[in-house]
Amino acid sequence: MLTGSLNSRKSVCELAPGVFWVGSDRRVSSLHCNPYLILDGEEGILIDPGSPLDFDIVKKNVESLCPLERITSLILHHQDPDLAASAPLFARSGMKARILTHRRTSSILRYFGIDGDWYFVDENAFAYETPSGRLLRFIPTPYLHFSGSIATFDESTGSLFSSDLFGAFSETDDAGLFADSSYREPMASFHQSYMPSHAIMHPVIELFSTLPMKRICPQHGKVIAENLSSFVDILKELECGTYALPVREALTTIGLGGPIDPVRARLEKLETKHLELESQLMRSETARRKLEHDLTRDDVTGFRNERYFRRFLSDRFEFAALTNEIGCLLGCALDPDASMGKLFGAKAKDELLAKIARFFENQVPGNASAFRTGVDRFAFFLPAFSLEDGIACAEELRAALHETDALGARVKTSFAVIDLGHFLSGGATPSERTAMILDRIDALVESAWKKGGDTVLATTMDDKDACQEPLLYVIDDDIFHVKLLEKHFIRRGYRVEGFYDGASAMQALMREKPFAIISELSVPEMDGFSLRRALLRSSEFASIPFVLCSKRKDDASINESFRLGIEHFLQKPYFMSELSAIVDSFARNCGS
Amino acid sequence: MNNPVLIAAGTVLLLANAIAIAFLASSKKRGKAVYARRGRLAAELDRIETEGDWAALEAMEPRDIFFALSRTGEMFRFSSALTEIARRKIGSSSELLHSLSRGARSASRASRGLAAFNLRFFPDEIALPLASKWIVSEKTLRVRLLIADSLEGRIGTEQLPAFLSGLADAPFRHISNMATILRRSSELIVDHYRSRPPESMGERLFLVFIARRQPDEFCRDFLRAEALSGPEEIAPHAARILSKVYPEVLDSESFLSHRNPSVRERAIASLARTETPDAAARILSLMADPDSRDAAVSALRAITQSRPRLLDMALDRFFESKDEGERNSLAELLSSRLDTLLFDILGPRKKSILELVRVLVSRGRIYGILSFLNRNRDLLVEKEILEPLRDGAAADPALAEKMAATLSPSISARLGLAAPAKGKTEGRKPQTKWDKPLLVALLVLIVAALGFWLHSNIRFAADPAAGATLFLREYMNAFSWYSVAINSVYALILGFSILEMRKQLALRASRPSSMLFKEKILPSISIIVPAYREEKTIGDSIRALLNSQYPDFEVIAVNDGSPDGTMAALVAEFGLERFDLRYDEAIATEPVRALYRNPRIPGLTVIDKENGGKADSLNAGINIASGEYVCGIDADSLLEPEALLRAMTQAFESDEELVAVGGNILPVNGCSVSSGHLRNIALPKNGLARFQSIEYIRSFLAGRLGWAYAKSLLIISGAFGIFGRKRVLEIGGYLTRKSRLGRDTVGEDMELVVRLSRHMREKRIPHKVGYSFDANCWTEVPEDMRTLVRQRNRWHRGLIEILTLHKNMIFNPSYGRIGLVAFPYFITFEAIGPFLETFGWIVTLILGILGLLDSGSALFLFCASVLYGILISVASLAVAENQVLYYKPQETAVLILYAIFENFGFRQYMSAIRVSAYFSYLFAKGGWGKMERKGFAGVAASTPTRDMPLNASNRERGPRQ
Repeated sequence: MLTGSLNSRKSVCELAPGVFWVGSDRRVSSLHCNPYLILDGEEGILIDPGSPLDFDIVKKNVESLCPLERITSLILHHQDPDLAASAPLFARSGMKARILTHRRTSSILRYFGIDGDWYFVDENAFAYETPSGRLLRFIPTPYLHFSGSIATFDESTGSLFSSDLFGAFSETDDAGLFADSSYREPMASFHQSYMPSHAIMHPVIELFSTLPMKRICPQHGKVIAENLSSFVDILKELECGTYALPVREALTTIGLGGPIDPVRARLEKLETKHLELESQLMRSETARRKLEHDLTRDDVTGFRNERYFRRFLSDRFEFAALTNEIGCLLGCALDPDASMGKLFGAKAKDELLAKIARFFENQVPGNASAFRTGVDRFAFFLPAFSLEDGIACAEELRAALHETDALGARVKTSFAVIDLGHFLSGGATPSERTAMILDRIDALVESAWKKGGDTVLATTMDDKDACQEPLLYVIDDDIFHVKLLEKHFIRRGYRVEGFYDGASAMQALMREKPFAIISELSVPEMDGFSLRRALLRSSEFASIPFVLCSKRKDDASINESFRLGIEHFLQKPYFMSELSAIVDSFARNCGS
Repeated sequence: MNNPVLIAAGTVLLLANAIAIAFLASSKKRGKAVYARRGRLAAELDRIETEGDWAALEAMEPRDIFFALSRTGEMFRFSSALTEIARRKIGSSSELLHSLSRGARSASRASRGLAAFNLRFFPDEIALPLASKWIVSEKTLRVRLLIADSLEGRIGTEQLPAFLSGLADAPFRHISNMATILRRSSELIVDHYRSRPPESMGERLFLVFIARRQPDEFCRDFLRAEALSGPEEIAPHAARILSKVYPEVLDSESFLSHRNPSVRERAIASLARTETPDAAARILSLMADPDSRDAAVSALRAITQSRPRLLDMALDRFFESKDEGERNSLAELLSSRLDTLLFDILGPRKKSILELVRVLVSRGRIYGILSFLNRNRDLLVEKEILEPLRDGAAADPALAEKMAATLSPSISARLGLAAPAKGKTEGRKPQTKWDKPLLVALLVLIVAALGFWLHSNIRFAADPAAGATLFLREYMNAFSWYSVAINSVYALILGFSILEMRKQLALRASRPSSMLFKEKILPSISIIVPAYREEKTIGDSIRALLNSQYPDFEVIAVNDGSPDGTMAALVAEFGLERFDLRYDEAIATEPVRALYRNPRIPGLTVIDKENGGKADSLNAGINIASGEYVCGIDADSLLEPEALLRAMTQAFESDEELVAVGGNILPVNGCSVSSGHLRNIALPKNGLARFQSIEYIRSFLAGRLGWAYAKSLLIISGAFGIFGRKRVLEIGGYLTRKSRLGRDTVGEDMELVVRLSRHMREKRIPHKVGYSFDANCWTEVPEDMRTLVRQRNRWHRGLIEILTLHKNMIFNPSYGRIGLVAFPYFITFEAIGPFLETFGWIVTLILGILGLLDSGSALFLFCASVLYGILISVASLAVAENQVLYYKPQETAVLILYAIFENFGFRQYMSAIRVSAYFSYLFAKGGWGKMERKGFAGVAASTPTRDMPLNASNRERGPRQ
């Protein structure tokens, strides 16, 4: 034991080698807050530092163990002010720690003015390895009691930093730091009030019980250092979600006055009735949840279904009316031929859809909501995304899906991106508005397909193509060829720009968009395929018709050009009249 | 010698120099004018076609039409209306007709080739009768192909028998080439054989190839019969074509259990082409037969690409099968689709997939799994896969090490693996220790001869001092004669070079590159790029190589255990992933750590291996290469995109087997380079590098090209050389300690050529070692004296090593010109010469200091060594600038100045280095002398100065006339 007397909150306490409790004995609204510090070699890791009320004491405690500059990591399990609000104060006092948390949590933490070097545990395999090799594992504890909540398990000491789980209200006179059997009751009631439901909490507690835990360090209440399993067992069985139950709510508003018999008798009666009602309620609640799940979820993908999607949209608009901020909606359609055509039977198709859904789940930003809105349609709501971010996200999803091998089939998708902010004002009723949005998405996806698919279209993208300007790009490192084609097409009334390598053509594209590109396959710096690949990355350029020509035309290059959606691959020597006809047809198509 | 003769000789030399310079100046202007005229005429033809202005065409000179067509034909064809008129006009010109018939009768192959090429510009009534008479009597295969190529699609029934007449006893490649060229006439050909079935093997093989293009019953039955009961030379080809065109024919027991394994393989593969579950089930059932297993695996691999459901069937079978061999094969198949399977590990097939993972781990085939894990973000999936990996790691520490080295740190931590130990990074130095007594004896002999000479002078002179002076004077005189001799040899070789260059130019003029790009006309090449500490440049180099203009090639990069980030740079640049491949390790090399590929870049393979030197890396590349030829390239060198094509056309030109072909190495210093692509040629800024520029130009023009003409070429630079893979494997690859020859050398490139030539001579196979005059490779040359000295020291030691290693070839008539001419040349002028030269300059210096130098001797030495030497350099430069290089006029002038200056110090110093290399070889100081790389970025900083892109202009210089 480094400092402090056992079982009091008067000073710093070493719970395990290098693991310290660094809190204060202040109790606010019946809650003690427990910040922890891990010293690992040269590195200090601060866990849930607490509120501004405790800041001075926690800071003093921490500094007694290690200077603030040496604290390199700060774990915030969720975003409650009682554990996170002092983080900016620490930062101002000179702590330059990287913040380890869930991405979803970070989006709220920013409102405290917390910012800096983020380490999103959900993007780092829920693990963090200190320079000395100590492994911290993070356990997602969603909806306990925030969607991005996590807990931390320190493998080397067997300490579970459980955040709100295993916490409790504290009595006025009980300042002890370690839990005994009397802790069970307050712990249970705390969970009943704060945790949403047995169904949500149970699996997490089950998971905890598989860990080689030596102690549980919750953020409220007491440190559990012995008889761990008895505490775990309580939570495994516990029904919670008190405030979801109106009867119990009613009881708490009546309150418990004094030892007056008639009241007590009535209370006991009520209590019996209440228990009965409660179990009934519990059953109907389970049934309701199941029903709701069945009604709002799509069986195949596990995504919410279209029904729910409509409701979700109008809810969002209601909410947005307060904040005036909403976000982006991505509509996504799978290519019915390319991805589904070669599968045997409906089961295979469902399996593929489920895989696609899982793939999307891994790829979309953490705060997005995903929906299956039709047979081969998906939608994603991206809160607070600007249109540009939404387009970028859609392009990324499109490219990732197109390129992955994980699905066992090559899947092409088209995306429509809509900035919901456009629909915030205006006199339409909620249902009209939802219909408008869905129509708009459908229309955009349709036109994406008309363009050949594998595209991203957005509300603001002006459909004016570069057609007004009959500019043609010719790329070949054979200067003779380029010059001849220049002369030829200028004579036919086009404007021609010639390039001798792919890279400079790519640069010029940013300046001015041609209506078609004629490129030799082997050109320096960026060959024809690389150029086409680069063009495909952006929907704007992907639609530019591309003619490839080369002396080299073999199985491999034909396959690759087919893969890249190049329809015209002429082998030199080609007929000049053929090339002219192809280019003219491009010009006609984009003129219409 | 008296002074007037010397003065006259000097004047002649000066004059010759002046003429060479004048020629140099004029050739530049000529090139530009020809270029402009072609462009103008081609554009005019294009205008005529677009506007239908036939009157203008009628008004054009036949010569001009001919001239324009011969250039544009490489890029595009004109409409038949224009072509008809153009041909008629050309056919009406008696001058053009005359030159055509003269060419067809010419004794020179090149002229006949050109005439054969030009046939295409003449109207049918002239071209067809001429061709059908000509092709029957033509002996040269390449000219026959050219005649056929010129008239493909125009041949009628009457001419056909003539075109088919020579096939009976033609070599395989010619038959296959002819079929490729005549494919547009396949209907005619099939009709021809319908009435008169082919008899000879050659014709049967030809019809097999042609039948591919002609879908009818006759062809199908013919192919079936040949595949079923044809001889060994024909059946596999017939089966291959059946599997492409009529896969259903092969779907029968007689093919599936055919005696010939490659027919069997085709039958299985064609089953796969129907891509039905039923076919897959049948192929799966074939797995039970060990003989068909490999073919079944590759067939199924093809199906599962497009029918992912079939994976489940394979997985089920894998899980049920009891046969170990079958399970192995299935594991092989399934491992090629690991990404799909592992992503699904939480699904209903979990048990089977886990079982598969276990089998793969126990066989050490873990890279696919590890690469999946590194990309995976799903913890539950990871948890499942880690379990079998953990067991595998526990069972086999070596496997655990591999896992730790490949997996990301967080995953390997979760797997409970220690961080990987840093591999050993010491570069090993090649050791040399062979017969030195011979070299000592040679040295003693030289010294003894000089000593005897001195001694006899002193004995017969009045006093020792006078005797010594006389000896010095006589030696200086002899040295001057030596200079005359060596420069005359150079002049002779330069003459050969010019002849060789003209020959190559003439052959090229008659070579439609559109034909070269047709299927299998040119052999396939594997480009092997050994890389040691090439972190900065490797990405750009490989990217540029992948962009080569060649019909059929692959790139194999070999990381030779670099201690820097070379491997990481490659992985990042090309998104590489490890993969498992079984291949035949024909040549022993240092252990290969891993192979990498990116499925999106099919033409690239990367080998990561333990350090073993450049030759060892090349050997590792040769093992895995699939091309008919292998091309060794230094990672820091820049290959012009057309270089492979230019070099490999020699394989097409030559009726003998081409075993090796080399190209020019030129200094890249000073040129502007971006992304591994040469933008502009410019002279190096550094003086030392400029000296080397003139040296390099001289060495290929007054050297290798001429030696190739004389069929005695022994040096192909390691920076860029192409070798027949089959032959290289036969002789056991490059010389390394690991290879079966058990020795290292520092001159592995020359050694390989010597051994190849020797091997072919001993096997008495007609062969050719070629050198292409304009297949250019640009490489960084040392800019500081220390590195240069080390490099030259190494080169010379390599030369001496090879001479000693192959000493029994010297003066050995059974090795022909190489034994009788090339080896003696190397001994006299390259091994002993530097001693004579260095000693000669010392003697001159002593005489000068003592004031004993008379004007006659001095003038003689000046003419023989300096003026003659300059003439060789300037003439080489003139020839090079005419066809190969494109320096600006002022740069050429600077080069001429350097060609003069190098005679006053630089050349002497280089000789002295060679002498010291001789001694350092004797005292066995090893090592490579690695030069400090600046990376291309440093070079690229210079600004582009020319408006015309290099390649375009260079391409323009391959004249067609």
